[in-house]
Amino acid sequence: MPVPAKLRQEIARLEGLDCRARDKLSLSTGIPAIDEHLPWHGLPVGCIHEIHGDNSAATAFCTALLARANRLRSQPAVWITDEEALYGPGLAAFNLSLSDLLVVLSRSATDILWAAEEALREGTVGTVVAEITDLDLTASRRLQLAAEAGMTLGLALRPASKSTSASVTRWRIESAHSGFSFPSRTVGPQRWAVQLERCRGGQPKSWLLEWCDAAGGLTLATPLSDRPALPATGSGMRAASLARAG
Amino acid sequence: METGAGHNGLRLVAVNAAAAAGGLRPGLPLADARALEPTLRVMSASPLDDQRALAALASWCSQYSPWTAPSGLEADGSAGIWIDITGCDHLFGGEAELLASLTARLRRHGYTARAAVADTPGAAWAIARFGHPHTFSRPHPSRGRNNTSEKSDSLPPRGEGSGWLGIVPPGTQTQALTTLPIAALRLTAAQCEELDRLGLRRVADLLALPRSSLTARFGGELIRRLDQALGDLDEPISPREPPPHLRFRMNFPEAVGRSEDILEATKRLLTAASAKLEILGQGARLLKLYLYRLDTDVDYITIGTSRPNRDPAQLLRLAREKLDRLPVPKSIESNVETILLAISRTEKLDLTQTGLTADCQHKTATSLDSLAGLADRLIGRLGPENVVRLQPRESHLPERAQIAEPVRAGQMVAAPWPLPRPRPLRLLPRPEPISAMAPVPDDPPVLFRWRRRLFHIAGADGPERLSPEWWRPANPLGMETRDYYRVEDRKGQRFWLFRHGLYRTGVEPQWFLHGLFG
Repeated sequence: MPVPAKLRQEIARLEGLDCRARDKLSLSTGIPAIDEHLPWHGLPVGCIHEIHGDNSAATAFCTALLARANRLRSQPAVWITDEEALYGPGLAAFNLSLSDLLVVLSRSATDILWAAEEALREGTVGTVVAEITDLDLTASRRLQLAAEAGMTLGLALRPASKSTSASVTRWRIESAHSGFSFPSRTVGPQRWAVQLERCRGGQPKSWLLEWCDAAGGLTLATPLSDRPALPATGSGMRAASLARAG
Repeated sequence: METGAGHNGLRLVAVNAAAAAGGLRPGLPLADARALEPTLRVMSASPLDDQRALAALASWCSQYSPWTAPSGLEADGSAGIWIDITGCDHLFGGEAELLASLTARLRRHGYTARAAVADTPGAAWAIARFGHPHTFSRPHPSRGRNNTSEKSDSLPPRGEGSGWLGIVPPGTQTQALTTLPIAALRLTAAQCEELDRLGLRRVADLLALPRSSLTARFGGELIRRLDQALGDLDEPISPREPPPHLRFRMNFPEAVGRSEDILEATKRLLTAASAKLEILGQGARLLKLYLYRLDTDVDYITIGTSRPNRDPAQLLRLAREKLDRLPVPKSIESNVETILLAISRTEKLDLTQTGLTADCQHKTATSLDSLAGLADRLIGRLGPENVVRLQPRESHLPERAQIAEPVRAGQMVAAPWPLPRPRPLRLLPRPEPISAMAPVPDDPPVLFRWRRRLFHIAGADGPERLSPEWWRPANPLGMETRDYYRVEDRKGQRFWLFRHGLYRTGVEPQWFLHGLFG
């Protein structure tokens, strides 16, 4: 084993995060650049990951991760939300299988934490998404322990991350301008500025990601100059708008 | 003493033992009663509260048998409860012991009670109200069908001490009833008066007469009551709720208050129930756990499962959720003396090797089936409407295109979602009005204000025109045609906006924000 990898493992072990046990159980994000950067070569299962930022952008990133986790782990998922706004057609557009998704609704922060803990601990759940506004150190520690017990991937979706928490990684997601708005004022493929703010045993980094219909998942957005001349995936509606504008 | 308004002013409705000893009786005008007993304490009667208290007492009595029913308030302020103890008396050591326990505990709670056991509800009713202590004494071990009518009233039982037990040996209700007044047959006051005028005062007087003439003279009601009392006509007791399939009870020698003890007792009851269910090849779908408290309060929790279940550990977790939410007992009086587990609904559950199922499941079963236990706990705490699955619905109206379906047992159909157009990740429950500036008619706005924030639109897609579903009769929102636009602001946030109604010159268009894209 190369020395840096060994050293990294040692550090993780000291931090209470045993890479060797989780190496097999880390979940590839489907974006090679991110997988390579993360010390676990993917998102480790049995951990809590915090995703915050502009609400809808964070939701989108979360949905994409959840869809991927569902496909890879073929286990049902639980989404605990505090509003009735989750919209099936939009979620399904992210290739999320909704027949495997249990949606839990609660207005009370206590109940959300309770439900998240129960779901994480259950063991038969693959991924738990919990929309938690207030996640303090104690609560996140509890969730972390529950996730470890159930070997569940926990995604804490938050509007903003103020307090410190025991999560293993923290991601900040912001909407970014869509791929091309030139020449007309239309909306292109969705893009997000993804920033890995905190990563136990790793370094922060940021990426620009894009939704790719052809790949059915997130890809690294390439700068405009490196793109093919015309996108092959333009929808009919976009074409119509282009024609109208032209 | 309670009073109620009668024909001529206030009259007594019920009196207690002390007042009865002073010569007061129900029906007496209040003024006369005051004259007889100047120190009389009077409360106004509330039949509704009495009914409620009687129903509560009937539910308390359900620890003796699942079939209990209040027999209603009577004119003299007394009231009764039916308990069908068929097959239940042996649990308490016999009929006499059951009655003794019942009356003793009622007395402790301040009720003056008289109880009687007989083959028919009618006879039990009669003996409890009109029986004499010397008539019957021996308990009989073998009995086909037992009914006991337990009478709890604020009146002193006529003449006898309150601990009086009446047990009519099987098949002897005719002899037992003959000496009783005809009022013991549950007749109306008018009927009694009419019979009295004819000199028919005892049940025996009626029995001596030919049935046909009785029917001709007094109608079928009298004969019906007579037959019911004598057992010639069956009279079922309609219970307050459907009797459960299985019941498991635990009495505590000393009433317990600690939640740990209650939980431990629940665990044992569930373990016993589980063993029984396994033999029957059944799983529980609906369970009720009753906590009978010393002060005659009955608390109960209901546990529903989404599929038949007989795993004591899982059921206990469900029960614990609910038990934790019961109010904390205020005093030692609210300690629990009996716990009863009633399984009201069961379903077939074949033998499965528990513990290995998770590994044995083939990989294709990725549905929510494996989440049944979790779903039950979530439903138990949050309610069935808050644990849902999103299902597509055939409608092109965005707010109707999905349906949140409560998670239930059964097949999960993976319905495909139609994806014709871009749809937001979050759809606001109601479209929110925005103030938008659209300089070009029939074009998306260039800026809008939503929730006090201003958004400059950098790009837009659309419109996608959606019309109301004219084939649906109800159009509650007064919906008009909507032109939907997907817009992106300068920061890259994407929204779903629509203009309400077609563009008309001179009319300010109304804009709404309906959803958020990622």
